[in-house]
Amino acid sequence: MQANSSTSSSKRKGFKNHIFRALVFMLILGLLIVGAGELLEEMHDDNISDKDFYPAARWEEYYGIAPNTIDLLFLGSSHSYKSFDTEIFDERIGTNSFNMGHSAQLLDSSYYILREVLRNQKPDTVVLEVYFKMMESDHMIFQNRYCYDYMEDSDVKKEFWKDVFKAKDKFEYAIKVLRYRKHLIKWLTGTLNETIDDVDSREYYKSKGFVYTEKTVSVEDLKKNNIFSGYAFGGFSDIQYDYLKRIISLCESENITLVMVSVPLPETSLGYIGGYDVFSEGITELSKENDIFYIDYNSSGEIREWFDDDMFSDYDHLNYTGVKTLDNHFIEYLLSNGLADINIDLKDR
Amino acid sequence: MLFNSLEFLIFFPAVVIIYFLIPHRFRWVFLLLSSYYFYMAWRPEYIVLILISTIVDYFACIWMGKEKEKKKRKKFLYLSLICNLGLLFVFKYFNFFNDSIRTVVTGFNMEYGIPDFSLLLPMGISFYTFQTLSYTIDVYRGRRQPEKHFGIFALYVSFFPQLVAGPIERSDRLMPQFFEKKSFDFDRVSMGLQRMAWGFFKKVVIADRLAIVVNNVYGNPGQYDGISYIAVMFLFSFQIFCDFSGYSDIAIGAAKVMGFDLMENFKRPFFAKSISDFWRRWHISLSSWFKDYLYIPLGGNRVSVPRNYLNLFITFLISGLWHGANWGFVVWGALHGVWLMIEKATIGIRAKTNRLLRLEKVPFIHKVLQVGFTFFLVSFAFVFFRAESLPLAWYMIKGIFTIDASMLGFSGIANSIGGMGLGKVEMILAVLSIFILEIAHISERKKPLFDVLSEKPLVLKWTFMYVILMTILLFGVFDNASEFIYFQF
Repeated sequence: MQANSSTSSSKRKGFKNHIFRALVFMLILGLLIVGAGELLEEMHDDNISDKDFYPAARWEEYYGIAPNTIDLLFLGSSHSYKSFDTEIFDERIGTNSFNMGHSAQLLDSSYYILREVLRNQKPDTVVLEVYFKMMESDHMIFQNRYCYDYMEDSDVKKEFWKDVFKAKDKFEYAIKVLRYRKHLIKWLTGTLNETIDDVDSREYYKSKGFVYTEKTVSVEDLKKNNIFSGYAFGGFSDIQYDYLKRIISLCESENITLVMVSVPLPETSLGYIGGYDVFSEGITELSKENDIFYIDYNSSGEIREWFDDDMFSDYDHLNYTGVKTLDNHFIEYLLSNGLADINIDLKDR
Repeated sequence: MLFNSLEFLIFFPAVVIIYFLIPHRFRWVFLLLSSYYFYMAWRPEYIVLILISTIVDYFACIWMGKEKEKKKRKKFLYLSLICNLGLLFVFKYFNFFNDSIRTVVTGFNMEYGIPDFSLLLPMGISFYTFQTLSYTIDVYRGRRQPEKHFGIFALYVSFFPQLVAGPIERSDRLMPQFFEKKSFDFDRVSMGLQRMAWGFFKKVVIADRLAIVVNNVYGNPGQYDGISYIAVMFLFSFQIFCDFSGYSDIAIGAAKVMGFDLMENFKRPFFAKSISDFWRRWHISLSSWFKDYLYIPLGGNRVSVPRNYLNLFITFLISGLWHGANWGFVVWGALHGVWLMIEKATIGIRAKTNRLLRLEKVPFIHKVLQVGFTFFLVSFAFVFFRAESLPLAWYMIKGIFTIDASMLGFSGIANSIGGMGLGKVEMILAVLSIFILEIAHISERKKPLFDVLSEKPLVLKWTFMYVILMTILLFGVFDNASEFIYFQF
């Protein structure tokens, strides 16, 4: 009896010991995770204070603009912020434009950015840059890094979190060590103080969302390192297609003129991309159904020829020579279709 | 459900907690439902295939058990074989054979009108099919009695830790464990969790990081040179090892947490001194399956030498085909068959050469040479395994043999390896992780890693685990949670 009682008591003691050890182990692990997260967050804060981190600079500048002054808004992927120089538009047609494109901006993000902009601004025209890779992906992981982090707290931001972030993203976002861990690699490589986007003296954040690039890709590089080699358009993502429709409805309800545009790609890259016509025809069809202007610079025979391979900085982005050519043509397109007016007041000034 | 997914991070602790809270008599039901849920999280409709396999094999074996004569039992064995291998053929091999026949027929300018099936390959079908087949064959051979408890049998077919990528368990090892009452044992749970962490480390820190390089080079071979091909040839060996053994570690660890012992699937395979030694260490549950249910029934080595060679070749050819419906896998299996035939045929010559070179006097150098050469042969064969087509594999192998002296300088090698898609730090991380892995393997020479670790002081044990867990969190590749390579088999 006594032996039984002593065995049971030692078992209980052993159990308590195990529980205690497990708790201590978990506590130390928790402290390590929290500590590492705090350190990485600090690295991140130091990093984003750098003006050259495009999303940080873009959002900071955006929130500094007086309410109801932006009349032309650009949305879309890096093809938007590297193609539409707001200065050119403002100078030529007297707009107060802003480019809210960001790297790999899916249509779901475009929708919420537009809603965020509409909280303070009332643009007459929204130019939505549509890029085939953004139309085929259900989900990407860039929302927080390029946009969510910088949005002001509001219902729009809450909805964005609820609708667009998957459970995995929410989990990663909530745990700082996962959220900021990319900075550790950057710290180890000694490039933490460089911008996250590939920046050198020939590429920098200019103003009002636009990023200037003067690099020129060589035809040899376009052929050798072309990421589209073997690529084929994977079809429209239901999610992104649905958000595109939501953008159309939102613009309609807010009485905003929506223009969709696909910017030029190098001829060499286009040669590699399979199924581009499926993408282009799909967007054309949607634009016709909704009575929206859409111009695809890759399918418009004559204009397409204006853009030689040496007007690009890499396998799919224009350099500044290309930007000027595109923007001047696009301004003519807007004017000739009555999608924008020359702001006389500003011109006189 | 992927082990390296958020869903599993919630699913597994929930299953373990409920499992230990409910009475023993309900546990099999709970584990069975959990296993079906685990599988259905991928494609709910494909659970039907597991159910068909389970029902057919259960009744085929029950009926077999009622027959004393082997002849009468045979028809039930055939029923099971036709059902299981039929499903495997339809879902995995039909299009492969159909395409191959089409290529031959149309090559003769004849018409061929049989279309391909548009079916998705059910995850883990080869694993659970082989697991259930081993049971049926054992019952047919009279090695075990048919299991009367349908639920336990169903759980044996679908036990979630090893359902989609093994280890392929034998019924006499796993099934009795489902009847045993398991109590919560801190030490066992702790060992299981450590094993799982080690598996995650191999998968997300090593395999998924190496995958970036390997996928880049295999995806765009024209952009790389022979040095890169050699590098990815060896790196893929580590990738697939860490991917697959990582899965096995997680599976074994997860089962251990709940009190079940699964068989070991890998025993330091890259320390193998010969190809036959390699197959005693690599995917042990599959190689022992083929040995017991194919090689030995074919006659094994108790036949004439030419017939033995043929048996080996057939076994490895089918093992290659088991891995996938692709000629690359067939060639990979055939190459291993050939390596083994050569190994057997040259025993005498090699012994003479070793004596001549006095290698027995320098056993360490002898072993290094053996291990290095075996690793090279294994890695070389993996080129066919990894390449998506035979022409691609051939292209890369030709590229390896076109390396000239100018490429071999330090800067040439650094340029080739540096341009494969991982930054310098990432590449150092990958190499360092492989180094840690091999240190662990060296320490495992006599005992499994975690047995060695359990004898160390608490501070050392915990430090090791913190390093592993923090490395997973800080350096794991999670951006596109990738499936385990062996899921496709």
